[in-house]
Amino acid sequence: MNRLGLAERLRNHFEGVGVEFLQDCGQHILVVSRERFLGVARELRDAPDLRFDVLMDLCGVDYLTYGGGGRKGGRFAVVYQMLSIAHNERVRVKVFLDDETPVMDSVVGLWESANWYERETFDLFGILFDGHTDLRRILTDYGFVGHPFRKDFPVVGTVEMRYDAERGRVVYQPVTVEPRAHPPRVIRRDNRYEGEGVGGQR
Amino acid sequence: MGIEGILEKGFVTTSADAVINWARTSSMWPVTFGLACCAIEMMHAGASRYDLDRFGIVFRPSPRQSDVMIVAGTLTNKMAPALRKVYDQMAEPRWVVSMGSCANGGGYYHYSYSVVRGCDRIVPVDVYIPGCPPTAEAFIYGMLQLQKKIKRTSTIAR
Repeated sequence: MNRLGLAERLRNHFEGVGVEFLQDCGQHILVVSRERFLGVARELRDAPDLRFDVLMDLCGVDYLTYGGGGRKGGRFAVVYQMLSIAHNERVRVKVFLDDETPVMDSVVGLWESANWYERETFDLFGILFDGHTDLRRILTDYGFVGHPFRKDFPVVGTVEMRYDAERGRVVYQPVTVEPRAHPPRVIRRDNRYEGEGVGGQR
Repeated sequence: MGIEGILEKGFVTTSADAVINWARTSSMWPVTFGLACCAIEMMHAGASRYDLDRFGIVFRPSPRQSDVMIVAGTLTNKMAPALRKVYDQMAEPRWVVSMGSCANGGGYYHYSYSVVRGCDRIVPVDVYIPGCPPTAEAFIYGMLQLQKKIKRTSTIAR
């Protein structure tokens, strides 16, 4: 349908506005700063030759221990997966956030589906979404403390539950099990994808 | 004992305990607490191939009409108060069957921040069925074990 490939069209739209273009496994990735993100997102949705009108997924990433730690750049990233039904194409947009209390702009106004995705990302990573209408926890228990998908959150957590016969209700108590030691299982090489440049790239 | 004379007139004599236990074991109505994939195996046991109705086991949607609670699946911290509330609403006598590794002791999620490490931390459990998930046969075996356990009890203390 389009004479130009998706890579060219993305360059035509976002060349020279501080957007980084990446390609991995034949997938298109845009790395955008937080300041430019809303404008880029709106254009991705509305431009007639892009029309990414479905937000398939939105998630957070914690790079605290990435590559053994000591990675430069923001600790957190928010990743958007978008689908263009009209052109049958997909694109991924990545935004790195710097702070210890990361704040991102909400896209609920652009894609309704972002509502629960942003609540989930807030719940698990503690990333705040400015402009979200109802930013509550969505998965963890009522009154849960912490953000469990952060790399510095202990996997066994801090509290556990039991029934207290005296008080006649379920209560929290400090966790009694020791965290299990996890040897890092990082795939550095995979023979199936040899020569395709998998691994080591962002 | 002269029982032959009574039998002819259409009487059978037994102990009250045996009758009560026969009634209890023949109509164990479980409140379904399907939490995860174990609930699928529980449904298989209830469906036509294994047919729990044969044992008088009829699933009830309300704890107030139930004798047995089947905890089928992963019990999370968020669900634990609800599970206890359902258990508290059941009338005595009541029994609990813990189905699958997760309900028995946390299973795969034992070291998780959000899962109860065994539903016996929340409610007293009578029968533990191992497996991940247990097959429908294993589940029926567990229910038959519970029947045996109920038959052992004597309601009228001597």
